[in-house]
Amino acid sequence: MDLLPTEEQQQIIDTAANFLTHEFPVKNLIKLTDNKTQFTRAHLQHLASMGWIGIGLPEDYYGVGCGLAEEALLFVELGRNLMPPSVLASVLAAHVAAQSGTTEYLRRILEGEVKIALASARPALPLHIGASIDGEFLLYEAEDADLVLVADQGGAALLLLSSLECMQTEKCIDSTLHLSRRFATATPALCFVPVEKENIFLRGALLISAMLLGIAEATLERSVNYAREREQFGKPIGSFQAIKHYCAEMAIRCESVRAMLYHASITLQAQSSAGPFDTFSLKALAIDAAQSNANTAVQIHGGMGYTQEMDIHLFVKRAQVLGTLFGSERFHLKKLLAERAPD
Amino acid sequence: MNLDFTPQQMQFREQVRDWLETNKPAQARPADGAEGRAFDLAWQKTLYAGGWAGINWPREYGGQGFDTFQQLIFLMEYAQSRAPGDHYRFNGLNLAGPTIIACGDEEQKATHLPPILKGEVIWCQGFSEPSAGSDLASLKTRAVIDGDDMIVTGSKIWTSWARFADWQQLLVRTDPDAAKHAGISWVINRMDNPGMEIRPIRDMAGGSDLHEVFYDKVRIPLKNIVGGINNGWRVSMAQLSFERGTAFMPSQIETQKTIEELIELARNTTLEDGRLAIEDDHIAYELAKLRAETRSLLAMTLLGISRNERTGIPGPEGSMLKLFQSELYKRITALALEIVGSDRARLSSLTGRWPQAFLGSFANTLGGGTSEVMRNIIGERYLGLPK
Repeated sequence: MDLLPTEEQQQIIDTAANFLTHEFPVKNLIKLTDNKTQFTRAHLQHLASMGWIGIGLPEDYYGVGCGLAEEALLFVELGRNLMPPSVLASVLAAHVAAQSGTTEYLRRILEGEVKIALASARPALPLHIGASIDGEFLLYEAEDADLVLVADQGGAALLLLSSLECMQTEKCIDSTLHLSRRFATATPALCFVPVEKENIFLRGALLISAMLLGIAEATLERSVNYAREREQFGKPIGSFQAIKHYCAEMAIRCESVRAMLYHASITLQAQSSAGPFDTFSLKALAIDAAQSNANTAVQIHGGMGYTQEMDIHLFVKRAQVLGTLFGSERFHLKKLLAERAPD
Repeated sequence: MNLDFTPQQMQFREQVRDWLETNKPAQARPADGAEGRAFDLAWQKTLYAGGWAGINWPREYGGQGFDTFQQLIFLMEYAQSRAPGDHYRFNGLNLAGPTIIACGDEEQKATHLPPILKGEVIWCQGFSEPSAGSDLASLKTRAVIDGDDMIVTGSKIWTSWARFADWQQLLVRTDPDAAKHAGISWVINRMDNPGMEIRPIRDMAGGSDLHEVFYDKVRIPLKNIVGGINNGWRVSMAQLSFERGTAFMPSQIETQKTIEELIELARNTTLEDGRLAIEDDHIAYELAKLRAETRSLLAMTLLGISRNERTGIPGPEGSMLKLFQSELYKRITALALEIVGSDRARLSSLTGRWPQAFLGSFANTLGGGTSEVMRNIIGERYLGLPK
């Protein structure tokens, strides 16, 4: 038993952290206020060149041959650097293409040649995801996408963006993301993977949780640094218990979600009966950690935290967006309570 | 990242499980203090005879010298089997014993270690004082050197099971002029020493295991000082070197059992509006949240053990786990009151254990360092925030 990352896994973390802070620094996002896609096809190909889209896919499917744990570690770093949820759409799309034998798309997805938008169903219309798709969807990063990934508890599908109706661009709470709304009416899927074959929805929930952990950790780190430097009443504000205790609570939320993420990565990968139980727990805790930490970070940064001159607000907004993807807190808690407790 | 145990470890698990199944006491631990003491000592004797005494003590001192994973497996099986908790045995096995192993001289080791393992003595602690709680290092109980003895005058508080103990690990001020942490000594004291007066304190949950202890010119031989005079603060930290992160396994398993029992209760309890408690949105939401947090408590415990195993140094996870678990347990028992509804008033009812647990839960966020002290430790030692 060893819950910590192995040396190889630690290397993935370090490489990703290093690459992302140099190639995609968060400060570049501060200027973006227009809801345009910041993450271009060239950016996607740059990421894909690292082998990251297929990191969790077996080599038989042109992947790197690692597992869910490695994917999860990568997504913590992607979340920390506010990479868009469409990266997750690409990774999951590769799983869908591989499982459904859609090899002509698989290679192009892995190389970042095909761009995938992430769909999140609105409850306004009845949802059906199968060989054909019905429903109303919010699409993240559809601006220059080719395909759309949709997933629910029954399965996951890829469809052509052009096959969806009535595009309406929306103003997104997170101004660094492109958001639109579209409808599907008996729209044929390019490929569909039922949950019995692979649970793409739970994989998505776990990886979104990893991104949420990245946000929780990034906002803790920024808060601690600020609390050490910012002085009032002649001392660093971090010496006041009011601030110190906020930071301690933020640190515990990070520790709790990181431990849960490691545990769930192992049990879900092993298809153990504890996998869903752990993932439902994880997603609920990760949403709370990211949102509570980001919100607390604004308070710790004081008036400056409320401005767009600092990057804290970006984390607040992204935590809200990610919280809605692959099941809300309420959804996961309901599922969790209905599960049998693992041995 | 893996959760696997080796075949040897699995075999060890079977061995522990079988032994506990055959040997654990059939009857529950008596509530009465004197009977509780006899029960605890008898159980410790059984453990000793079976070769399970002092699982984390080195073999040269009669312990089992188990590695971290054997300790983990033993504690998991132990908690699962519902064998009796440490109760009065806690201090000797986990605090005083390990401190004497780490800092004691040969005579102290030979005199005091075997009786702890063999179930012959109970130890207690004299650290806190009425005016030295969270600020423990400001303790004032004075020890004046007189020949080969010290003469101790002052008082201690929160000493658990003092009137049922034989020995006490006592912190006294041997140098009143030194800096606060520098003038303290850690000394072994007999509980039947003349000049001592022990007053039980009734707690809000109805127990009387806490005490105030008064010292009026109590004579203690200087040879009972462990780890050198005026070195007591460092000595009191020594028991930490035994900590492998496994200490939280029992309370983790206890918490898990408690939340599962509460969910079961909610499935079988009718609220005043006629619905089952589990069907109430608020109760269901809170239950699920507590269940998720309890699950992460397991993961955090395993992560802490893994880190300890890699570095060999106890990290910040001790304070985090203590804070997380005690606050979580408090919320579980508070939610239980909402589920039992008006029956929370009936301590004598079938569900009386829940209001009883609620009352007892306040101790968790106070004893062994308050939640506020834990948050200070996390902020300062782990996050590097200024004092």
